[in-house]
Amino acid sequence: MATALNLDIAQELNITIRKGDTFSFDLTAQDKDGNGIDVSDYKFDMDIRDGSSNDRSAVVMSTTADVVEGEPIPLVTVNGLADGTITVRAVRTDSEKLNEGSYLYDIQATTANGATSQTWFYGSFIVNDDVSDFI
Amino acid sequence: MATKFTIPSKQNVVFKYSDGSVDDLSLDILRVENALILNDILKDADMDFDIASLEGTTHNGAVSTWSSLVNNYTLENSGTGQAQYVETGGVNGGPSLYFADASDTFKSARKHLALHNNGVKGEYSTTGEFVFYVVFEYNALTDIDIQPTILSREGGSNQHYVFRPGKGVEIYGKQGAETLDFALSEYNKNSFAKSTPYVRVVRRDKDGDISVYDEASASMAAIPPTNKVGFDFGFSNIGAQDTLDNARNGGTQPPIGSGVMINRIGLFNSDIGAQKAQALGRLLSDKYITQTT
Repeated sequence: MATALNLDIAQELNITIRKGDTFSFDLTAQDKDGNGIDVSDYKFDMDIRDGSSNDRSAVVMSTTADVVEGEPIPLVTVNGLADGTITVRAVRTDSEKLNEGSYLYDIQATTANGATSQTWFYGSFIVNDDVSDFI
Repeated sequence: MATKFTIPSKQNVVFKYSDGSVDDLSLDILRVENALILNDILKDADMDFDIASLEGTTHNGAVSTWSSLVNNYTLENSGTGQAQYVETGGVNGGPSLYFADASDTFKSARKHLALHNNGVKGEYSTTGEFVFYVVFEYNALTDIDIQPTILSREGGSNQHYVFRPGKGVEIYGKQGAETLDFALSEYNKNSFAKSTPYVRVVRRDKDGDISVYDEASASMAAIPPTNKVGFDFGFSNIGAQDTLDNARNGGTQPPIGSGVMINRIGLFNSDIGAQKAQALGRLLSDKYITQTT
């Protein structure tokens, strides 16, 4: 009988936003007693990409400033705070640059010394189309 | 057919995480809920002064009364002299109430704002739990080494802890002639950059422990549980230009040129818990500093 060893702790969290809207949500890390865990020393990386490719050019939004095909990638910020709150946020001018569609994303957490990196969340990232343009 | 509009709430995903140091490597999503917002916390405050209450007051416009958003507290001009005034280029470039320092003879002539409760003037005292918060910025020529802090006043029949985000705004605690075990020396060395906004939340829990949190929810300081002093809140002297420093603060007043601008200040007369107190610092920062709400 085979024994499984699963070191993947990532949890699926599917996200839907509306193109051209600011999006912002919190993730709150707690210990077993329900107290906030200080995550201010963690570095969080988030990429949202077209699921059809693993190439960097498929990234449509990222915490890492980059240029793909001559255009800056729209930015999302992920910040960890001392009370356990992880804020995820993108401004409307960046979400406006996303095309309607279904994407994939994950959020990786890396300790301050860089020794440990784990994927905490992953899932679909759906962008609903909007009607009005922001002027 | 009626059309119902609802405002989408910011969401918060609560998850439990263990990093493996206690024989457990796990991450579990517990629930998705509406994220805590500033008003969720501040609705329970005992007094809450918001610069928005003074909306419409022009630059340098005199303020004779600043009313709390909750209960019937007011800060009122204490005399017949010039009132404190609104600085439209205050905290983070927004409007603030400006409390001048004594170096400006014109400004220092202004009278302080005295706390009133239902029209009756008086200080605010508590011997138990509290949470105090303030959003402020020094209007200084140089960085400030004299900090908004909690410190002990040496000498005299009483010793005090003092929290002072600026000249004339303070909380002080009293306890007879007992020796205080004071552990804020590192915090007291903090330097505050000129023209930079800060948030401080000071919390005293049921055991008498005092914690100070900043705009990133980080703990700035803690007074050990041996110090179970009572506290008075010097709101009756908010904006005062003298007496406090000499009488209570042992000569640690901010240097010349360090007026303070405030756009939110208030307190709870009970402990709201560490998580909410930390979140309060972060959410005040979101609203008044990073403006990401």
